[in-house]
Amino acid sequence: MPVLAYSSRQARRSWRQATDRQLLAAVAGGDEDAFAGLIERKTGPLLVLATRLLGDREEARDVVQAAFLRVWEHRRRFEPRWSPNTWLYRITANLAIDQLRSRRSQARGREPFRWHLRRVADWRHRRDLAALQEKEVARIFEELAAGLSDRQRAVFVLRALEGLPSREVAAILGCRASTVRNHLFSARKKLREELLKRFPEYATERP
Amino acid sequence: MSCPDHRRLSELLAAERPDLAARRRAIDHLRGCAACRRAVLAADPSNHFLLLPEPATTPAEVAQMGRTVAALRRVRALERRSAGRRARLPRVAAAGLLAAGLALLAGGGAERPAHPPQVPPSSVLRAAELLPAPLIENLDRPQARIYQLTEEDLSVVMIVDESLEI
Repeated sequence: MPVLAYSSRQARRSWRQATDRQLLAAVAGGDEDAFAGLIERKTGPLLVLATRLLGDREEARDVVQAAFLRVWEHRRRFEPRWSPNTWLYRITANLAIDQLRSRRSQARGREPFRWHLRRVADWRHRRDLAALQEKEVARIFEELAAGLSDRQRAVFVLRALEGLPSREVAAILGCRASTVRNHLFSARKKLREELLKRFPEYATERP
Repeated sequence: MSCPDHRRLSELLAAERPDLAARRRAIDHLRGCAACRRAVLAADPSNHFLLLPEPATTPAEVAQMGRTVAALRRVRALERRSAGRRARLPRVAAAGLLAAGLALLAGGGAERPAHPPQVPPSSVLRAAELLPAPLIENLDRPQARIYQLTEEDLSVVMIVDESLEI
């Protein structure tokens, strides 16, 4: 007996084999299952990116939700010659940068420096730990990255942490590759200086 | 990756067009090898942040993402539909006024009734008849839900979050 029903679960499974480009082409055509497949495939990487940009998992989740919504609404704007990852990263990074800006302006108005001072004090208590744990690296990064501009932070995350080439980072952030290299240089310099000044024991590891 | 090829490691981490798989292997190696870590940190202390944890995404989180995006799309579609109706409203009102004006001109001499006609039930009462609004979806936050009230030419979407204190 022939199978007449073609469930959406089957359709979604078939999209697992597709390339990112094929997936986005189908999404552009309004294919709901392809969109579900895209969410399934890209939630992880986009959450990592947004979490590193924002330093907060909850906010990152909201940003990724908004990014997927934007992908669906602007799906017809995607051009096949573009890199799918660049397009998705661009949407997510821009939303995360907007979120960073609004967070900064709110914090500036409400509670200047208090939160920051509390965290610095908290950190001084923990300095004598022998091993540098990953969670601590994340906290130090959050603290030091607060001194970077939004662009510098985005460039550092995309270029140094995600390992994307400067040209791709430039396409994501809508600037030139030379600007990316300048931002990366400044970001590294600031992070290095602050790390040496505030956490010298972490700047060079003990044998 | 063998030790101690520190220079190769530093070059790989700073490469302009890195092989992402090799880079990942190098970072994994860095997490476990104190000698390489020291060498890479000596080259640039900001390399410490290469050890930032990669937050894992659970299948439940991915599934929740799909559901939330679908709910947001529905809300957006409903908002757009009701915005379209709101945009049509002035045109309908203008046509109504024009029709009323023409009717007055045509029957200008007609006698007015002694008592005004009975006012139909107000829209407030009609809206009240519709309650309770049907639940569309529970959201991922506790006590958060989406309701939708639909009438002939009006659709209202309400996102209720009882955990918020205003």
